Amino acid sequence: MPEHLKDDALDRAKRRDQYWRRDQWKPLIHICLQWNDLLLELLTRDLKMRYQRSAIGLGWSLMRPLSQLLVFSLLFRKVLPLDIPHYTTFVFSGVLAWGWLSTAVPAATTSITGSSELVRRPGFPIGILPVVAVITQAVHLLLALPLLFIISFMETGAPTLSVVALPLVFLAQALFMMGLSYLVAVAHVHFRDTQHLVGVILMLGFYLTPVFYSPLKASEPMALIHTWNPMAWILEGYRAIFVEHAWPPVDIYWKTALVSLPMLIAGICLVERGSARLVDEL
Amino acid sequence: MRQGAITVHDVGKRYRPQGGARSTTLKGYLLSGRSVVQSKSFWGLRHISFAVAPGQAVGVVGLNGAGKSTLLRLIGGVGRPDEGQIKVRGRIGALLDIGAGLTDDLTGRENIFLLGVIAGMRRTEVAERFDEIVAFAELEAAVENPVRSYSTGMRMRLAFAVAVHVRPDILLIDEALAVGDQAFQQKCIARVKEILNGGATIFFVSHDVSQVREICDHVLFLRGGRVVGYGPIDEMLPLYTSAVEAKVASVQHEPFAVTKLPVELVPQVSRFGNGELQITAVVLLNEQSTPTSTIVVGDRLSISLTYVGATRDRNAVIVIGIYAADDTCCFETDSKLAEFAPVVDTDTVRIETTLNRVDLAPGDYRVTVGLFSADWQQVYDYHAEVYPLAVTGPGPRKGMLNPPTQWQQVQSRPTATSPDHGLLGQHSLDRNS
Repeated sequence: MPEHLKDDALDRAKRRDQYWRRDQWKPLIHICLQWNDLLLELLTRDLKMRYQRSAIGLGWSLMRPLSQLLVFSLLFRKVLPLDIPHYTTFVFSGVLAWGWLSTAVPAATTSITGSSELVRRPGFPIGILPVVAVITQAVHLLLALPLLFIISFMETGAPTLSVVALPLVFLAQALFMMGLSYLVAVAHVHFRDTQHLVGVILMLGFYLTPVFYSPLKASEPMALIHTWNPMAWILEGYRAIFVEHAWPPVDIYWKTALVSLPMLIAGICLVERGSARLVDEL
Repeated sequence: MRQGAITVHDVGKRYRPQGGARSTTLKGYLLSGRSVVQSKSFWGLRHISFAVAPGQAVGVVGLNGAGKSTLLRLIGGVGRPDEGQIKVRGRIGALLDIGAGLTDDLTGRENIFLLGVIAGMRRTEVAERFDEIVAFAELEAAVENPVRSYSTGMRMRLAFAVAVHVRPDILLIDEALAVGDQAFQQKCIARVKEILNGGATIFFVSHDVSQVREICDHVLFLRGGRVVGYGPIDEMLPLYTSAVEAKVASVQHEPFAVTKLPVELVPQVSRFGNGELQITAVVLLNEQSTPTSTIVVGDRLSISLTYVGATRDRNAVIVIGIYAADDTCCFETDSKLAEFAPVVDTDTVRIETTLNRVDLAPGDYRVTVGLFSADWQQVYDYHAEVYPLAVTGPGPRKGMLNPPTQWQQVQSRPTATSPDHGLLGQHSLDRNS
């Protein structure tokens, strides 16, 4: 009977929506507040766990960029002179921004697999984990920021009004990194060697991105690695503010958004749709 | 909205065995090519259907590996079923893996906030209930110390205290009430009851029959990923205890040796009980009193049941039930409800239960019969959904109920004395008679 076939089809269609909870449809503002609280708690947990029991606490987070700064400014001013004006500010802004990426992305990679006890809790939003990783690492950048201002002040003079564009550049980098983080975090749930792959790619990325040297001009032969590199755009933004005291070029914002938003949306979809399967893979 | 309800419809969850065909590394995935070999998967849960009304407390019992915890997780939204659907209404609170989320380096206070927020509370809510939580956990003296210095009991109490202060609409509990000393356990149970009295729904997995009895009013009995039975605690709990006893007594003791039945009964799958009283014959009779397994809708059906050992318990309760193909109970009654007691003068008793009309939709059904002690503490013999019953004839478009139906057009006469009811009986058509 075709009527009964219709009913079967209807039943099958209904069953596609396999898990349904009234709770999930609460107003967006509640979800945001809940996320806000969760972020705060997870963030403080991460920071306290890392630094509470060490003598100089958060000061450790400055060791890495400062030692890098020391090596680079010695190396590329005295040993292999690069002839970049205000090199200390130039390389410090690069090292700090790249440092955020190079710590946050590996942390995000293992963020979901490393918190299986959270993921297995009913109602826990898995999507928050990569975000926590990115923001936790941003704290290190924020702590080093005063130092960057001081170096910039000593080397290039007082900052100008263009400093107000800093949060925007910051946001652009955060957006790019969140997109990346979601993708690698989901990939790592399915393929446990993503972690190693991410390490290798970040290492290569460090050399391919103008962190300690100046970007290639568009006319030069290998310019592609810088004109199509979101991190190169973002570094350009930071350096405009700290080295040149100028406004960052506007195109870096929309170019970064254009690259990051599809990654972010794809990543969120993967986490939300696949959260069921993610749990089984853990 | 302090209400909660769980609806589970034909849910199945499939598991791949560990080390299956699919690689967990990208390298392995690329090397093995894209060919996905269908590995031998097994169903951890299958054909699970039941519904829990708001305010009900359901105990989930079953031997190890029955799928209890899997079901609990699915209801909590952790993982999705591979088939079927689950509907949950309300805020979920969970007492699963108590103590897993504690962070050693943080103090008790910080952990309370962290756990509370992870469990779905707002920071302000946690702050409001903070004193209450600490008092409940009996940790006033230690709350500022790092959790690293806590004993196992203290950790459990802390985690439990946070979990029960979430004020959920649905509370999922997985073996979590075995925390701390007797006094604290009693406090936990009292708190769970308080949540229940506040209108919440409770879903409680436990091996501890006495705790299930204390908290729950309904029991879901799982075995090997299937529902054996879902019903009032009086009937289901003895079934479970008998299954446990059978497992303890192992295969040496075969209580049903004397029985020869036309249908094959598998102990612990379709047959339960201690065998003190045994059902030796079950026959379905039609209107002409001839044995049958097929009746026409609306016909009379008699279920004839013979059991031995009647002298050992003269007040045994006889349970008769009809179940649909998807394990839904269509009808179940017992002799206690009907205030019927057989007169026992021999050891063998034959009872005939007659259903005057079987107004079920056409389809395949199965008949369940059982013998219980009058206080529902023991199962003597229980044949779960084994005797096939086919119902044929005209039926409804959909559904299980098939009452005699009549359609009529009501004359609209404005001058009529009772315009609301029109004329009954005119142009009527009784389809079933």
